[in-house]
Amino acid sequence: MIDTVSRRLTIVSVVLVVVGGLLLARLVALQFQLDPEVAAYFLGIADSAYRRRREVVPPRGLIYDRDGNLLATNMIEYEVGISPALVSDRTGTAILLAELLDMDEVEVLDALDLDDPWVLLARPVPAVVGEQLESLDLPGVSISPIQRRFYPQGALAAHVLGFVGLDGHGYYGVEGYYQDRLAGRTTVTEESEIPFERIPGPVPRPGADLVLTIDREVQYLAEQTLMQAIVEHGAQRGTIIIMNPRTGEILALAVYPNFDPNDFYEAPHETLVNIAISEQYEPGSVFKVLTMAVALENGIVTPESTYYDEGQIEVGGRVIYNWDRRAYGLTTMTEVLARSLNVGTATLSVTLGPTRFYTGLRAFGIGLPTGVDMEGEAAGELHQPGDPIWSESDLGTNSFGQGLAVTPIQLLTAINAVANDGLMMHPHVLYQMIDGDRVYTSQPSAIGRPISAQTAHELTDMMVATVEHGIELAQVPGYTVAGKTGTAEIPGPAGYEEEATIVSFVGFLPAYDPQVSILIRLDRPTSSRWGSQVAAPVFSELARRLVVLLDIPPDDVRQQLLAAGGVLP
Amino acid sequence: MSETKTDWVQHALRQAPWRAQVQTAATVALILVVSAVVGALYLAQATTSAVTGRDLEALEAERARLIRANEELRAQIAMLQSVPVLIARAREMGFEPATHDRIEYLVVEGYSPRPEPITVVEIETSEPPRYDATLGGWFAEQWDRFVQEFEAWAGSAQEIGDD
Repeated sequence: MIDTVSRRLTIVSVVLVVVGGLLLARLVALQFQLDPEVAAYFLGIADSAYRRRREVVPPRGLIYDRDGNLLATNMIEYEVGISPALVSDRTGTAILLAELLDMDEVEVLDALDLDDPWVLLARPVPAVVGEQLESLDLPGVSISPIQRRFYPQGALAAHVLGFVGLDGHGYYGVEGYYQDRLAGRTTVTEESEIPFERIPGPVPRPGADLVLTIDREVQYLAEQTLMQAIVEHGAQRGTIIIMNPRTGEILALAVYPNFDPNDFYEAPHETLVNIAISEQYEPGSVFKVLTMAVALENGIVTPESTYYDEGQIEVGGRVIYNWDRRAYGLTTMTEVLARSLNVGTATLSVTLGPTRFYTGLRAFGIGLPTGVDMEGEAAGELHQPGDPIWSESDLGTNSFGQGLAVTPIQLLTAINAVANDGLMMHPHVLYQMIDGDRVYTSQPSAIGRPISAQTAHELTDMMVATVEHGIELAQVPGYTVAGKTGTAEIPGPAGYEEEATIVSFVGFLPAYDPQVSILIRLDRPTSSRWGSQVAAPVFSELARRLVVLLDIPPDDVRQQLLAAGGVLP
Repeated sequence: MSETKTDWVQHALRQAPWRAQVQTAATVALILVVSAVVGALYLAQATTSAVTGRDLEALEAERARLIRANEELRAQIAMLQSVPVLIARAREMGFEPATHDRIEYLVVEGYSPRPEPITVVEIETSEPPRYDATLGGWFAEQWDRFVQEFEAWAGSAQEIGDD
């Protein structure tokens, strides 16, 4: 009996030891992950619970004006969503969320009734509200931070800056043009909480900060002046550009109608477009400056050269008249500009011939984008012999700015060459780029030299005479001003519109040491249809305040400075 | 000799058979204690790691909160310094915009109002110096120096001998 029990006990012991050994072996295999399949299974569970991929979005670069005033920065806002299945107190949660998010309770309750695993409730939610919700720690309510672009100056320089969409991408202006630089480099890293582990990956590169050539005070002045002009003259739209003709720096660029980049999604699409660089138009008589420049440069006339103005001229079967239908008889080239005679400039373009005329205009960059560093620049239109839609009569009408199209920035850049001794500078808004420890300063660069210094000086004299004798309303007391008005009819499907015009003025001062050049453009003014009566006084008003802001002394003081051994500011 | 030893062990076991049990128990106990210590150390290390992870997360959250607070403050300052606000404050304080006809310019002999252009120098970043000295390296360096000095001395002695 004892033997039997002993034998059975031995068998049971052996079985237990074998089973125990198997279990132990399995345990060891699990613990030390000897079985690849099992190891992968458990690692998968662990990863899903503790390991996660995290997208590291670096802060977008800031944007400053030339004096370091902040124009664009980043702020955190929140996105609030709910997982209906996880919300225990539906009514209480709905009341609380509706109150904090300024929503209707029924709307929140409807969202809670949905079968979806997650429902977006509100986006963007201000930081204060988001942090308040986060502290409440409501079950089933998720609060995620989202980066949002913020423009502390509101609508100021909106068209220069552009905006950043809800997708984090920059559109229009410098936000669009320098998107890659501003955005930096986003990286994805893997991390685990238990065990604590960070898998090193590529380091996110923060976006570069931009310092613009824009002067905030000058920008504000330009926008205020433009707004007043729009109201005073009943215009529909308009733009003002202020540049330094010596360097190509854009000091201000105002566009009306404007928009607030903080609420870009509420603005009509057409207001987002920067008409100063994106919309081309027939410039009208302002363009006569360029025709005269080409004629002087080619040596076919001098400022004192004369022609006999009969009040009309036929070019390519089309009769061209002066704007007032008058004939002026023997007329000098200076008087052609001062009186803005279409017949005079048409005579010049015909004398030049298409090759020299269009080559000269191309040298001024007409029909070509300037390369200004804002998104959405248009190239303008300049048809030449050989183009299907060019006709011989275009040679006459092009001379006074009809039958071709330019953008305001293109026109001002071209006329800046006159102010800058014949050298045409690249227009730009980027002053500095600060990328980590490195600071890149943009250097003024020339696009080309369409005219010689002598031609530029002669043309400056003619433009000064134009303001002194032809456009009194553009004068600025104490300062010599060089400028030219433009009144362009608006082409439509059935020819030019009857009364509607686009009026403009382009000028620079002080004429003999130019420090600022200004372009004024107003669309469809109702107070008058002439640039000399609408755009010229706007220029004068703006320039009077601008010389104060930019510390530009009047001519007599400047002469005293020179006499005292100083340097003209 | 070995026979004598075996006899002695067998004799000892006969006299005190519990000695073998004690040795076995002690060995098992030792294994258990070592396992427990290793297990405890592993647990402590894993716990510390997890706690550190949590702490780090909390610190990161705090850093993110401070960055947000900084950004908000920066934006508020910029708003308070915006042109319309400054104009309104200036008017409240009795200032009014200067007009060109009310400005008096003073001519100072030899003074140039045009500031010298600022030349921005690019900051060149360089790798930080590396300190990779080791004890072995130091010994090698000392040995090389000793050898060099010895060779120099030997060379000079040879030259003297040649003379």
